[in-house]
Amino acid sequence: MVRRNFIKQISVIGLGGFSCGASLLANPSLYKDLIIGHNTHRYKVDMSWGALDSKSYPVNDCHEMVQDSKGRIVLLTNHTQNNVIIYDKQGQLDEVWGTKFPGAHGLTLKVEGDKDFLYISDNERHEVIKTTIDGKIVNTFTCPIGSGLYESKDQFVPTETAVADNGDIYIADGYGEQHILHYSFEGRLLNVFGGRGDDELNFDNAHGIAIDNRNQQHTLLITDRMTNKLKRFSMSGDYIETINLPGAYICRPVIHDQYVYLATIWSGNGANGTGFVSILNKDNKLISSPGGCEPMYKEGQLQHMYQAIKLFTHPHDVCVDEDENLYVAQWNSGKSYPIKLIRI
Amino acid sequence: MEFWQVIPYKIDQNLRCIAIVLLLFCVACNMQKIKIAGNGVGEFVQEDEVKLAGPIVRIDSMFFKKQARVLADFRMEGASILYKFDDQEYSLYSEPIVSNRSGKITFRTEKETYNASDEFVMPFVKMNDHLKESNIQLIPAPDLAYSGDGSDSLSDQLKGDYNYREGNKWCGWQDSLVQIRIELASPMNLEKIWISTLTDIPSSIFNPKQISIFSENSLVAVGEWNMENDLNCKEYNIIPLSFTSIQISSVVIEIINEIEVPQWHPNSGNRPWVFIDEIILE
Repeated sequence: MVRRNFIKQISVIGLGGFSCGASLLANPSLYKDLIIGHNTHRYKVDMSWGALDSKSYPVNDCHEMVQDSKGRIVLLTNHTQNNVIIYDKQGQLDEVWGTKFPGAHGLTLKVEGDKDFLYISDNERHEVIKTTIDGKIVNTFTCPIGSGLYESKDQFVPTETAVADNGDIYIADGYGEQHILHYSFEGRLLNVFGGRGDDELNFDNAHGIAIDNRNQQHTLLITDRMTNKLKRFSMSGDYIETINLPGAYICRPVIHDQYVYLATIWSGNGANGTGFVSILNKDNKLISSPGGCEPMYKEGQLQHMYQAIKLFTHPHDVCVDEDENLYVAQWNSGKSYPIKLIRI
Repeated sequence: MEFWQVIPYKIDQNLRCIAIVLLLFCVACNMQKIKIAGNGVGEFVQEDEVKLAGPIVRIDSMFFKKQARVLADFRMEGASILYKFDDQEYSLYSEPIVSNRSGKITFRTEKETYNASDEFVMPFVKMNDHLKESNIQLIPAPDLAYSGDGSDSLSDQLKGDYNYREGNKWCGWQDSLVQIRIELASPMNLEKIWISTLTDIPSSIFNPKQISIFSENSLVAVGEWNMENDLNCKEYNIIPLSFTSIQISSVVIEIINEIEVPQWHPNSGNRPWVFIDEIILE
């Protein structure tokens, strides 16, 4: 009897637990996966995709990411214990290399024949370094002192590169004098445009550059970060148009299929911790802003953009895989690893 | 065969119930684990783990003569903007708010399941004529590059904007101590002083470190602030200093500024700036 009573008491407690569990089951809102983004581009968020043991594989700023020909995700950080961290798509560590890129900032991948090459823009070395995918240095682009554009090497502070089909290289001097430097494959300076100033063809933080291959006629898309603008130039440096993204401090354009993806490091009035991701469609209209407010156009003009949820801190780059999932690398975000956004 | 049928029939019926309950409890616990985790491999962030950002708030003028009009915006499906005057209860925001008195409106955003945003406070001040025909001395004089209209800039009832380099609304100093000495045209009962300043951290413009109010050489009020450490911060501030009402015919505002731009700033080691565009006596 005593035992039976004890069991009954346990049953009550157990039922209490069950009752609690049942109420949780009956209230699915408690388990709502966060879904960010708008219209056709919505995502679930995996914060732990690329998390590693920070003592063995530390990061400072996670600046940029690309996907190589093997489908691996390549991360560039300015931590000189492992400047390049390569993951498989599941977020498992594949390899690390690089100890001599203290200002590792821009990362561009170019396939030449059947080989992958990386272009690393280092804003402390004031150089762009071309390497093989496993870290062997192939070429280095230093400050073009002979051009007369710079008085000292320190004035050249490259942030990003874009490489054309013919091998020509475009370097954005985004933290320096705001020039766009056009080199031949052999490294000969062919042209210079942009530069600091207030005209539409000038820049105030020419932070990122990409080749827009969505149309037959390829063009250059260059972010003018502090003015919240994306500017289009011909491959020979002629200004074509400006795409206004008010309130969005965009880092670099990433072209995938018919869309342009842009990590947006700050928003609103540019305060810290206000970042999100911007996605433009083939007509260069903002259609989705994961982490940001709903895009809205009035009389053809995008209304001021700002952060809606405190998820991202300072997104600095977006990598898009073949399944259209996103990998978001962040600057100055507590030495955190990239965030994966799964397309739904 | 259902799962409870595999439990040996010889076990007491009560024990079978317990076993079923425990199994279900474990299922519930597992679900809870998924909810709490959010940061485990292959698990997704949940809505209730995320905080909303605050609304975007705009005002036609932080200094007004008749009324101030305040607008708030937050474009997120299903989210609400709440607001309250001074220390009243929150109300649902649905249209621009109009006020004909000095005060502050506090805003926040809410959405079911999500965590509410931090509060955002918008102050606004009704202008008056107390400084009309008064004598205002600025010691030392503002920097030549940002001298505005001298003391007139601080009583012209015009708000400066973020482009502090143009116009004559802002007075800027790099001095560690600035005194604003005011001789009124006629005595008044004073209980609050508003000091309107600019923060523009990229340009090394910081809020004052300390502001003291003196009347007849006696300290009336003092306020202190920590240095802003957001490298991108640009904002207007209207700093109120309140005290027991006193009758005055003159008052001295003493502003102490930081001596050096801090280490984390690109201009570290240089002298920071302080910018003021208006003083209001109430």
